[in-house]
Amino acid sequence: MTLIKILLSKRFLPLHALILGYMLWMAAAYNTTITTTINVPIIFYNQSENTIIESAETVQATLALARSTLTTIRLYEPAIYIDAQTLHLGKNEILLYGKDISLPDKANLIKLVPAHSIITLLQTESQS
Amino acid sequence: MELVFSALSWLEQTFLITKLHDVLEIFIVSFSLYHFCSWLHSDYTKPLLAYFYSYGYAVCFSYFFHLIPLYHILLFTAPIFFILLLIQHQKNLQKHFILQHNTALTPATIAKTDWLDSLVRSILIATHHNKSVTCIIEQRDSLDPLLTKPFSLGVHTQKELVDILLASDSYDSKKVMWITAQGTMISTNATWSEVITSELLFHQESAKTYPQQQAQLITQKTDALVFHISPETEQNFVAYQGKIIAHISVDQIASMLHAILTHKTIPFTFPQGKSYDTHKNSSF
Repeated sequence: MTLIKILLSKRFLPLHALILGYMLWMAAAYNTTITTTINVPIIFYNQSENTIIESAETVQATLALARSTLTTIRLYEPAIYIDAQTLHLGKNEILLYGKDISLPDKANLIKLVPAHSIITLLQTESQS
Repeated sequence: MELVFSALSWLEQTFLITKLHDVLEIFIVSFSLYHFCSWLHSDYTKPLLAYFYSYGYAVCFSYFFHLIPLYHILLFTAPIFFILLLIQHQKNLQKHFILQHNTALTPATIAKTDWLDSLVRSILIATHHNKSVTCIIEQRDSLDPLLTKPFSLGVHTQKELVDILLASDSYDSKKVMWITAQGTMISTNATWSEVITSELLFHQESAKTYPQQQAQLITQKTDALVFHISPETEQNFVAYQGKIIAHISVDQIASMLHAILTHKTIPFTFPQGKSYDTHKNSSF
């Protein structure tokens, strides 16, 4: 029995149905908008050498984007960037905005959990 | 629970499936395709399933490889393609609408095929007297619209009965012996109805191959089994599902009939056109 006859036999029918079904579904759903939740890290810049920052490492971001951009979203490495110079010593309550996150154009931020982040700025003793 | 999450994460990254309802949608589409493909697969006269696979994969690949004009052409011609599939499958559709199915008598045990051995043995004896026999075995599809019987017997096939019928002066070698798959002899000297003869009118090749053409046509339309045994082994043939196996010995005919009637794998493995019988007339 040739390979083609084997592939066309009834035994392989469920496999063909599954592959074709998935491909047809993907063709129809490729550009539909979906929601997904990712963990976004908080990154501080302009931090002084003699300071320590205590903060949550990540926040959960719920995004609305096209299914086709799902694989590329991780390439963007979305993160929240906060300027350490804007912080004062002690506890700082920061309201996180969508504009703080670097996202591709086709993705929209729906919500951040938590929306507020408490960041503690501590000063260390300077080295002589 | 962690296993479910890791599986969902893998599905999301590999197949872009983000939620369980995506899985449900894919299952529904695949299930519908499976039943449609099963229906296409039931037509054994044409490779409709291969055509459908080619079309389906062509649509998908043209989309994913961004062959947009080809993709649109295939989408626009989809209704025409499916109508052509339905038309090609019409033989199967006609069979379900026109031919009634024989209702099963629900025998207590599986139908015995020992009547088959006695039938073939009796036919073989008749060939020694230069008589050829064409026999049609009716299965689930009723042959009443396709055959005309001069009389009804309705008795179980027995060697003595077949010997008497074949030895009779009124037996006509050019006509058909009609038997059911359970071994009930319906009639002898049955003839093809106008449905068959008119369809063959324009396709007849030669008088020599006429019985084969008739057999091929009737087995394309129904699940009946036709075999012909003659004094010359070269003229022996078996027809089933529109396929003809010619130039085979009586032993091979008997084994094929057993395999088909007991629903084993159809042994259409013999190459056609070549005689494997070393003796002119083989016997049990």
